[in-house]
Amino acid sequence: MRYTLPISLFLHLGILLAAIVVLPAPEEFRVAPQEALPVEIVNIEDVSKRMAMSREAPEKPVEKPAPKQREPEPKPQPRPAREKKQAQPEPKPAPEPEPEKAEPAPPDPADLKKLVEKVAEPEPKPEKTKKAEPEPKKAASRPAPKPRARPRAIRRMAALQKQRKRKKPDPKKKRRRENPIDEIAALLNKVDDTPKARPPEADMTGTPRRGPADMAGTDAALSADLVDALRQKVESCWNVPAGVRDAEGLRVRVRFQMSPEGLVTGGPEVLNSMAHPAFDAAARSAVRAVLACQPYDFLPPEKYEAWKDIILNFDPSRMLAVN
Amino acid sequence: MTHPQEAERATETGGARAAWKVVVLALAAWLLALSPAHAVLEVDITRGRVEPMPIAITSFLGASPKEQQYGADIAGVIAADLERSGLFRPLDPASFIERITDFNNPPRFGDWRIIKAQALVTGRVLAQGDGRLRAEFRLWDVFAQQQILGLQFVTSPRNWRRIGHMIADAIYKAVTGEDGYFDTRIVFIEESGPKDRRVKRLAVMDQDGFNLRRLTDGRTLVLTPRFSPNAQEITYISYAGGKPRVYLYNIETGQREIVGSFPNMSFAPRFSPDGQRIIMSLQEGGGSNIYEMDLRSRQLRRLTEGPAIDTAPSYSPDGRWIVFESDREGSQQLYVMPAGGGQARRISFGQGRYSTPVWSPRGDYIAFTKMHKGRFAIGVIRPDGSGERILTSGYHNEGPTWAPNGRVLMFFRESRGPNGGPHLYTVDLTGYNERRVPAPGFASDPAWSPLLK
Repeated sequence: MRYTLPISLFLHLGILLAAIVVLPAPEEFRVAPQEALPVEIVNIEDVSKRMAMSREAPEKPVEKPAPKQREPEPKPQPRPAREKKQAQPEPKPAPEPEPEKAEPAPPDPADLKKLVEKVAEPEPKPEKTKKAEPEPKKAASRPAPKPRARPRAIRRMAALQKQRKRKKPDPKKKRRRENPIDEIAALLNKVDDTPKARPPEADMTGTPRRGPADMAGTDAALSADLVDALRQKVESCWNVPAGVRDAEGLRVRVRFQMSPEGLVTGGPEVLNSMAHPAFDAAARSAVRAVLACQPYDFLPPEKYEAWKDIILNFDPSRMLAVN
Repeated sequence: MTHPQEAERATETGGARAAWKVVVLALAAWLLALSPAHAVLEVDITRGRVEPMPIAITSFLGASPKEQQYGADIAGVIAADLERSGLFRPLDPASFIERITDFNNPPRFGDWRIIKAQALVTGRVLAQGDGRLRAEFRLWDVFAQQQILGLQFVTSPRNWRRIGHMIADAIYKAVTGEDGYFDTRIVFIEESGPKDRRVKRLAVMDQDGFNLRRLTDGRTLVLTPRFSPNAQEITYISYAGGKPRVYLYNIETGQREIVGSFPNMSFAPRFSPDGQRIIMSLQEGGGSNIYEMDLRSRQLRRLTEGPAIDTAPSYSPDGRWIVFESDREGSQQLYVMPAGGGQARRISFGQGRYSTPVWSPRGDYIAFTKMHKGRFAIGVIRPDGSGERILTSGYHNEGPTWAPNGRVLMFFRESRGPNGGPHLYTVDLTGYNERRVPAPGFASDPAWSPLLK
């Protein structure tokens, strides 16, 4: 056959072109979670001071540790001391209610800032690993973050339990809205003390499917930090209807696209459907949540490719249903 | 030059060119079909807020002042119903920015978003030529900017409140996913007069306290009205003639008949879910047992036996089980047994005495009255005995009855003191949103009707 060489060249070029077009930018490939265990050199004073604070002042309003543009909290400090407690049972991390606190928010922010600065070196994140904890059913896919998350889980649980006893409003810092689930849980405790089938703090944070827990610091893909911020934002806007809350097995998948400014441009579109009588109400509430939460301007424009197309899985079954 | 050779080459070239074209086109098509792969971020949302939904309810439009008055009144009934459920927060009409003038055009959603309404109700009332009233409404989703629901109702002008209740039910269902309970009635015992000489009358009213109607005159003692689950019929006990008789009374037709005379009746009958049987307890010796009567054949069948006091039976919504209270183990506790009789299983194990069990129309809970250390409480428990929860406690709370959607309970509570008396209260299944039912005077022993047809 003639022209074999040109044809071959042409096809090779074609494949190359296709590769250039199809294959994503190299950064997007760096999605593999780097589960590096950060080691921080810590001043023992800071550790003892912070631990003392946390034990003495558990009732101070605590802050959600998923800041939008904030340095990591001093959390990482106690970690080295607590690494020993790895042998905690699985469910421990789970019961911790929300991504909050356990971090004592001292009455004077100046103090906090001082501490925060000291810790600014260890990179962002490890906090979030905690979020990355999977619920038991997803345990298989993410075994790595657990060990690290447990120690902080314990502290959080302890502080949280103290916090539970008193309802208090979260400080409205940085557009954080107070999480009403905690209040509801505390309020619902007026009920008599027969043990509930479900522990009151049974809501586990959902796992981001993407958005790797990037411990290594400079992350090119959407960090767990920001995924968590996104989740909390949507959770704060999602008003769960009564019939939906008590529903079993009800899930709504919503897909939408966003502009670089964080405004919804495509959708939201409900991807699934169920024959459940409350499904329509649930789907509407999910769509409403996505639209009501605009603009999502805390998402970084330089990583727009990572968050311009989003699927949210609304699953109310783990909420503090009264049933 | 050789023609054949040229021709050959020409053909070959022509063929090759065609082949090239195909290759190029295929490649082009392939390239076009490609698109840069981008990752879709997927996140799980497992929590949300639980808050009353802010909803804007506008007065329904009307052409004439009379229609406009109906429009305003119907909107008022809807707003009151939704607000009382505790799941909605109707916004103050004074804060509305847009004035709806055309029922058929979509509203300016931006104006409603500003006042933070998540849903909007608009409507219209028309007095038809035949004298009937037609009301139509639309429920809008302010964020999604579309209509969720649109319905119309036609009825006689006297029933205008029912239109409001039916619309409220439709809105409730569309938003929460649960059936509503607003188009229902309550039958109860109205009490008046001094505490030692109460006059008790059978009365029925709408669940919001309006349209009160007295069914007996108070000269004879009447007790424990119960609603049939599928019709607007009630049973009650009347001591006319000195003997307790069970009456069956149709609220809509006013027809009254005697089901039977039971001299040894210790507890008023309840209907089975299919309305064909009633269940009651009759005294025997020192105790009482549960009997079932078929309404058509009027045959009695005994379901429990023994010397204990078995009383206050209630059917499950599927008609297969009965819950009742019994002191066979020493103190009043709750037991569940198959509807045809058989082995009864105890389900209550807490501290105190349990009585008046009522099975929820959803089947997932049994409500009861509990007495412990002099305090009364209304609580719920699952049919298998787990998940016991107290919803409200106080001085003399008693007699729970379920709303047809299984979400709200009504009971009565005595207020103390010489001028005290019973009042009706509702409480949500979560134990919150306890409200007093506005009834004129004292009221006790409520029974909640199914949704009116």
